[in-house]
Amino acid sequence: MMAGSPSPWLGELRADARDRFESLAWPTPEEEDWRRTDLGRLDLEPFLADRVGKAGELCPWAGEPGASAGYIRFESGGCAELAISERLRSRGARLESMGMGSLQGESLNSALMRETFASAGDKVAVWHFARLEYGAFLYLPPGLKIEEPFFVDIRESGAGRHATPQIAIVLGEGAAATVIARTKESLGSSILCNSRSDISLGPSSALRLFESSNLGPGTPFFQRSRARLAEGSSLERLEVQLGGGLSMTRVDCLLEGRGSEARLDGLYYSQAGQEADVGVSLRHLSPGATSKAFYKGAVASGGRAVFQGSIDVGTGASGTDAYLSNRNLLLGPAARADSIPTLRIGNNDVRCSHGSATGRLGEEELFYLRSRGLSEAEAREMLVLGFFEELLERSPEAFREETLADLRRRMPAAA
Amino acid sequence: MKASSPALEIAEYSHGYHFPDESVFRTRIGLDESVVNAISERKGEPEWMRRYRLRALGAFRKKSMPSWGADLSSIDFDALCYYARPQEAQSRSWEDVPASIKETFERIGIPEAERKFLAGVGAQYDSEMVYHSIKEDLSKLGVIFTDPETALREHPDLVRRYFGTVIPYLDNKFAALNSAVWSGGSFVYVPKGVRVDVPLQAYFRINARSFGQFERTLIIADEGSFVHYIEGCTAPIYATESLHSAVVEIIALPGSRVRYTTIQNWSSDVYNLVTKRAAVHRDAVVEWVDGNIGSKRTMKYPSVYLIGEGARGEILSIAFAGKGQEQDTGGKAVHAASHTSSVITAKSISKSGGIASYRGLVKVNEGLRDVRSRVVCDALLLDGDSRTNTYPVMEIESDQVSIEHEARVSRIGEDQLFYLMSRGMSEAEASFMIVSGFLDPLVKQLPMEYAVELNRLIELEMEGSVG
Repeated sequence: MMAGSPSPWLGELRADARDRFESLAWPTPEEEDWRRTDLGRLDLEPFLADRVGKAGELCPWAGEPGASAGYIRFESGGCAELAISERLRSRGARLESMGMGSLQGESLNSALMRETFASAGDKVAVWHFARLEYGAFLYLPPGLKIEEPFFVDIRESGAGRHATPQIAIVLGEGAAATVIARTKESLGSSILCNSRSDISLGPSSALRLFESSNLGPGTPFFQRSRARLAEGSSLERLEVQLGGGLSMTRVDCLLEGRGSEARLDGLYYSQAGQEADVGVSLRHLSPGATSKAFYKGAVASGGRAVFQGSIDVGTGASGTDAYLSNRNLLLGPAARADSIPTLRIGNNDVRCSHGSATGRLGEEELFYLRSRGLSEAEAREMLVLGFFEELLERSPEAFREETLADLRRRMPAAA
Repeated sequence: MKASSPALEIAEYSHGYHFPDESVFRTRIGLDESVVNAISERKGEPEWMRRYRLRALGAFRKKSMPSWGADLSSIDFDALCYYARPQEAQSRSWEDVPASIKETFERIGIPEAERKFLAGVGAQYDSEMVYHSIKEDLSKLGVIFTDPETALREHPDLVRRYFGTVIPYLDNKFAALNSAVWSGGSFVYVPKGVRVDVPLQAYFRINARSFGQFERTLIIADEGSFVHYIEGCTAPIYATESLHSAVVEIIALPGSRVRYTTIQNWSSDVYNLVTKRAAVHRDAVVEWVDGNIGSKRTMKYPSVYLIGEGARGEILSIAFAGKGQEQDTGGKAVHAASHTSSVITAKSISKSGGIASYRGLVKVNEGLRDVRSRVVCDALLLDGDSRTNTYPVMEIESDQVSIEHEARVSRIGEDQLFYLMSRGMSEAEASFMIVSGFLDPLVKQLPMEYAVELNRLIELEMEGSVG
């Protein structure tokens, strides 16, 4: 890691993004992507001033990482810890704090950021770049395969802070990595979080990515993720969205290379007062690619969740195999869930389908568990966690256990 | 054009005939208050309807074109004629129908249909009913089956009570347009407890160049009654584009059942932008069977609003999008009462660059119990130039529900083709057989005559689809 001032590209990108930000209008519900999340209901004013806000007291970190290939932690915008074994560094692996990294890392990262900035469609997405403060950058050179996970931990706190976490991952040809990324906010803080993940997978590379966002009940939360998959590469991703107050998250997966594979899963939970608008887009741009997406959500009484998922098959994408599934559990009478799965198919040599189901916990299962001595709350908790289990069973144990603990904390006390 | 050999008769039927335009009265091109007033005056309507039309015209001007759906950019509202009347009086019997119109009907099989069904036949030529007969026993039962103009004269209270209650003129731009300039259509009232055993049928036919047709259909099924209404459309070929924008309202009162069947086969230059909706009361059932084969652009989403406990809605939708066609169809189920259920089944076929889109909504309002809905969409792509889209929306605000949706896109499998061809079929025959099998579950829901007709039309559309 190099000491001193950040690389100049970051300041230049921010300046360009500020110009574009000023020229754009806020998205309105007239725009398809924002039809179900009305920005007009948020007070964005406190977060518009050109400052990042004041950091607050950080709560103790719950999940300590186990065996890891590398670890980077940000606390209210500053890089608090960064560790990667010398062995991996000497083989060309880079885990760096954006703007403060090696020449090679900065060059790769700035190229990726420039490209994704160019693809940013609306004012909220551009806002991220205009205020881009900190981020993690991971790069593995061709052929380097690492089993142990890299950890990216982001802890936010403070009053009026506008947090813009960024995670960028670039894998060279044939490289393989597992990344666990967790974003948390301290209790009692009031921030706005506008985050991004950007992924570029070289030919035949493989990335397993487990991301969770666990923010305060009043925090506006926006997240955009974009992944580009080259020929023969594969991406396995699980996102866990626990809020935010009002959250709007989008994943844009571009299957650009022949035979690329994506498995994108999502888990979301909305408590009373929370609104989660979760989106995933699978875009098949070349032949023989496979994509599967499984999204599951549970909504407590007074909560709201929106799922918007789409499969797009371009005219040249013959041999596409794509499936998208959405399941919603409604846990109380005033829960609300919208499900909008979309297919847009322009090639006839395809297998594409989607399914959606919304319902509540089975009376019979509840009755059975109660008859075994569990309280109503315990039985419900067990069934909800069971509902999510199939998504979590593929993830590393540390991630799974922490997610289950987070979910338990959010559910009515099972005393 | 086509040669008139017997083997090609069905082909010609699908494209229609064109007879000289014999309209007696027509408004000038374009649309403003004076045109709306002229239509209303011509029809001798009560003042409330004239005002209603004018309010709707205001709404039409204010409403924007839909930002989604089929490409409607080439509709020029100022280049259309909004009302034409073919002849002075409504014909009472078959003998009074002019020979040219009679010939048109002959070729699309109306007299045959009448012989077969022995029910009421309301046939629309241009904007007005020109031929109308109701079987005596139906009128004895108190069933009203007439055009909406006559209903407005003879049953003003019934019309005023229900007209525009299911689809208000503010609903969308095309409903507003229809509400301003509507002309012709059907009015059906089935009294309490009456079961109409034979389907009521109306044939529609556009026959004036660049002519907009705006039928208004209102069906009221009183408590415990049953009626099956069938609407079939064929249209002649025109050089300029035509706009067809109907409004169909169904009121299914408690315990009644209404089945509404449409086979739409407009010629390939027609814009068919239709609003169809049913208000389904307690323990009532409404079934929409909707087949869309013709037209240049179709936007049609038959809807059921389940407003009484125990109400049920079923929507079956078939779309065939061929060359230059965009079929944007689907269905909507709005659950506004407990213990309601809905089923939407959609099948579409895209070929030769056609675009078929399913667009649907399932909405469950707050605070309801025991609501069930199931939506299944199947799309078949016959070649690499065609497209298919699926845009379902589910908005669920009650927890005691079971809502399911699934959609699949497939093509004709080479192994299926190979198998059938190995049994001696040509590739075209094999393809047709596979398509027929794909549509079979829906075709079975049609009365036999319509099933036969639909199969013939599909066969025609499939001609030259392979090789």
